[in-house]
Amino acid sequence: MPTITLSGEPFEVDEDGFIQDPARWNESVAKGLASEEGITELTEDHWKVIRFLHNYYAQFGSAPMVRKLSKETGFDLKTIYKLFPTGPAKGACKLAGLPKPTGCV
Amino acid sequence: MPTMEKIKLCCAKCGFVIEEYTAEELAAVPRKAKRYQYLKNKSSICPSCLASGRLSDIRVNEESGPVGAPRVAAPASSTAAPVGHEEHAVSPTPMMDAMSQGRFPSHAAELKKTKYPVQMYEQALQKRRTQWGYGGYVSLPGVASGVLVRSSARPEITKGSNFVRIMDPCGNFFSTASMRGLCDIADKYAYGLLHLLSTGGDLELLGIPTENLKPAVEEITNLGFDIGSTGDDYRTSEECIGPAKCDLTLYDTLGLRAAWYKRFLDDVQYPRFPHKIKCKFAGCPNDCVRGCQKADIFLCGVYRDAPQVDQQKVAKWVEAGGDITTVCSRCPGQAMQWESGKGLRIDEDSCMHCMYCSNKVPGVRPGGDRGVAVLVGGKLRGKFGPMLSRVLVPFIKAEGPDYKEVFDCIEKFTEVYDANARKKERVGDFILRIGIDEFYKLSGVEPAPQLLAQPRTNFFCHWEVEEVMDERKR
Repeated sequence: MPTITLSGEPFEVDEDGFIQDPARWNESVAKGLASEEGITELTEDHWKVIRFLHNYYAQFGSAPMVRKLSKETGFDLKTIYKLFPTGPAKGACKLAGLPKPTGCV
Repeated sequence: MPTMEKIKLCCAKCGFVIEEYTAEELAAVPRKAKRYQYLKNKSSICPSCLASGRLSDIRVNEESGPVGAPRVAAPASSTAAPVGHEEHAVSPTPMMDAMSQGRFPSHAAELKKTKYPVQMYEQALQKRRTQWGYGGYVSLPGVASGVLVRSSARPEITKGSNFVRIMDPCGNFFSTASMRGLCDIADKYAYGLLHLLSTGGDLELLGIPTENLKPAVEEITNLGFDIGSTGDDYRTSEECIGPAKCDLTLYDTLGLRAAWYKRFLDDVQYPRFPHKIKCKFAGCPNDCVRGCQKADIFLCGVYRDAPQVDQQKVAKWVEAGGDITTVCSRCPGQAMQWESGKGLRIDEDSCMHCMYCSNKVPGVRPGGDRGVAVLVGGKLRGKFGPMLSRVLVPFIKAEGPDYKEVFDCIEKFTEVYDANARKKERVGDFILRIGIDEFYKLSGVEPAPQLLAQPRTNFFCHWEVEEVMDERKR
């Protein structure tokens, strides 16, 4: 399994670059992964989505549906795609430290 | 190197190899020996030269290579789409050559003119099984939907192909100038092949390598088109030709679809629903777009009053030999009455608005009180198989330019669907799972006789238990 180094620590990732152990996630991980996804700077809007996804995963053990995500954060899908160009599943979930989602996010 | 005896069944005239066995195989496997004897004793048609007759068998000693070695060499490059085409373009394609013969327009001849990997199709014909693999979506930064991929089960021929889906303008009208622009893009980045008006009603450019996707999409956008309509969103809607060519249409289908794009374009391009939603708009109950069978949301033009009758035209048609008595006898509501002195009379209450008289008799036109019926839940695939759609709202006035009432109704329905359906559940399956009563309750529609599956034939009404109990107490 490939590994990447973020802020001096090695992380195991899958073939798409999702980190394998969500428990080791912290804010520096998100910052480190952001450049991969074509995001130059993480604004407060980015953090709102990332924190929601991370907390939802910690509580329920799965990624939320798109409808839930846009309802809770208040951003519509177009705005989320503007924030995360690769989309809520690939971009936002990766930054939030979730494993690769299988469902619809 | 060890040699082995091979037995080939060939066409006696041109030598095209139909099947090939080793001597050991024939001795060891009875199934193959049986097939060999069957083919040898039977008169068959050669797929290459189309000559019919007995097959001849040739025995040759060949050096045995690795088992299952590919017949054609693998391409050196590893990029996605049309690579390796040059090597395979020179390989023989007897089956496709046979398909190119004749006076009819041939898809094989068209494919061979482009950069499409013809060996994929040729091998599929020879093996009688498609050589393509599974499909999926491609993530392109900034583009939520519109780019798809079809992988290859024969990576030694081609690695697979990406393709983009271009949303068509209303009525599928393309000017020659913009079509020329699309052709240039297809020549520059793709196979040089247009897949025109695929089943969803849109246009596909096949075979774009991954590194070319971004510039190709940019050029398509600069041309005034847009990509989308893949994934769990509104698919490109189809509409009948409407007032642009037809005389029976009851509302402006093209205008309604243009307004639909204006309002719902974000939902076409950003997938957010539980499953895809297909929309079709038909101008009249003749339903030329087959929306009742295929569309999750189907807007059908309807009228409420009796058909308009031009008595002079009808009388003229009858004089010229029109068979008005047969038409009257086939009216499903028995609403038409013809008397030679008095003319044609159509009873408003018995008329079922089936359009039979309007289609058959010149001079009978649809009535003046026109609008749109919203039907939901038709589909061909899905968990519970094919279904016809059910009426959600029997009549709404379709008033342009923004058609607010119609679209509010659609939006309300999609909210119900989005909130209650499971993942990857089509509208029809969702309605069947929760039940039609529960669905109408969630949607908050007014009860109407048209909501029954078979109006005018089904007199059983769905009562709540409390209502029936109250009746009994009285």
